[in-house]
Amino acid sequence: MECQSRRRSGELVRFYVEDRLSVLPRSYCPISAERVIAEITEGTVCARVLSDEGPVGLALFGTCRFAVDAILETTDGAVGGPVTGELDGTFVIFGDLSNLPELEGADDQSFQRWNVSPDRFVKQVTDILDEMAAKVPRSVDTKRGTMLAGEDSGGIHTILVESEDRVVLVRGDHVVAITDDALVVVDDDRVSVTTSQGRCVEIGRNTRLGPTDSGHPFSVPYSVGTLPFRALRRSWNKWYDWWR
Amino acid sequence: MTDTSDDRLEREIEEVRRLRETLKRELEELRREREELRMLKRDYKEVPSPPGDDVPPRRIPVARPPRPPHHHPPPPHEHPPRPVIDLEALAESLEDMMAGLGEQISLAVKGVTDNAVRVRSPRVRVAHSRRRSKRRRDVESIPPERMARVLSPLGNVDRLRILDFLKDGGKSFNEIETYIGKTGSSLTHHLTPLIDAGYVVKGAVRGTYYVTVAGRLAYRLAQWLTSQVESEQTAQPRESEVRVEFEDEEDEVPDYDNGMPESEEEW
Repeated sequence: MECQSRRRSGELVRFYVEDRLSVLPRSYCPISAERVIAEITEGTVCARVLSDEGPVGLALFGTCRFAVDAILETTDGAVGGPVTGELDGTFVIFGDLSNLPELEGADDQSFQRWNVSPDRFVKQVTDILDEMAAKVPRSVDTKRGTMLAGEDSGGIHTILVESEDRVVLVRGDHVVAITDDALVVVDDDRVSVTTSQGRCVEIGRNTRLGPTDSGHPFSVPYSVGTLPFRALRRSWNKWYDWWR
Repeated sequence: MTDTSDDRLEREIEEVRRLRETLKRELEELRREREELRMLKRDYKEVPSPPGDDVPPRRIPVARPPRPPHHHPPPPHEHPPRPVIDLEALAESLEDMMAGLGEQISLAVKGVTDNAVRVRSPRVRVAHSRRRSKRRRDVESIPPERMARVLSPLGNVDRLRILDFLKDGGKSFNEIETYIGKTGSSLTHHLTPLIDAGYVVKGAVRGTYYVTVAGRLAYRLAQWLTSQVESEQTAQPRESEVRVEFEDEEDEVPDYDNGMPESEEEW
């Protein structure tokens, strides 16, 4: 199976789904770093995703739990909190799969566990990759990090990216990005940037400046954003709009 | 034809007469002006410069008899003459008075220092509590239950030691066990109230514990409270101190429309 799209520069990005369908014999952690961890449940059915340059990822059907420590230690104390979630259904992984366990061949029972047929799984994966290739104007560099994209049990689109100790989590309309020096939170109504020196800038309806404890990145209720917020939202949309 | 030429001649003669009258009036005005200028020149007397000096001779005003009043009609409303105040004299008298005061103060201070007299006066502290009084009222209205929710997680030496330990950065459960000297559920018993109060946050990835901004603040305030209470308990009573505080809230300002208060108690 082949999914291809024309890049803006004119080159073609081609994604292939391997014909051989497999199953994970044991749980697998595609992302494991200091601030983020993702674990795929044992028995998840999968198929390798290839490009012209070689294997770039894995398409799966099953569940994947993840946790992100969106906590930044500042000079005034820690800011933020942990975020946990679970992908359920079809999801894809792009990145280094060197620690992927030896895959076993999938049979009908493997798919019956997830209440999905092999044809439906392949169709869903093909649609996702086709849409992704059409909207992401860059080839996949598996050495730079790992990306996990899918939906949770509530149907909320989720993208998790880990690259060189930098973590970005996009969950619906909310975004959290954390590095050693800063924590950026984008939710319904505000954009908040906190540095490790304890400085915090929030842009929203009630724009305010000064140090503050942002609390849980996805649970702080604020209302209505501003133009800068919308501009940032648009930039983030580039990453996950293909999923809609 | 002849009549016409005679009439024209008469008109010209009449016009010449009018012109002559006009010139006569103007000539008289010019003469009058010249006379006035002469009178003005007579009012100043030239003072010759000393011999050998290139300075032109000076002119000084000379007293002269008052001019006859003009024949112009007087203005409809004349202002009364303005009073003349001798400011120079007033300024001189003020300077003398200030100089006298300065000398008196200098003499008084000199006398005090020379005689080594120590004057003891009570300390007076003036506090202007208008802006803070509303906030103070809010703080003073906090019920004990609310205070207990904030303070009770800090009411244990192990919890305070945990907050102090986490001040240096996130720590794992094992590191806290080693530092505190308590293991398993004993340590969890102390960590859970701190997490519930928001003083400590636990990461979901590695289970690392971090002290939050609120935890740092609570710990610092506990240190401050301790120092204040201890210093108050150890300090000597200060009888000589007098505290004066002005509670000038708007709703507490007395009504002066009915007259000023008569006694000091009403202030």
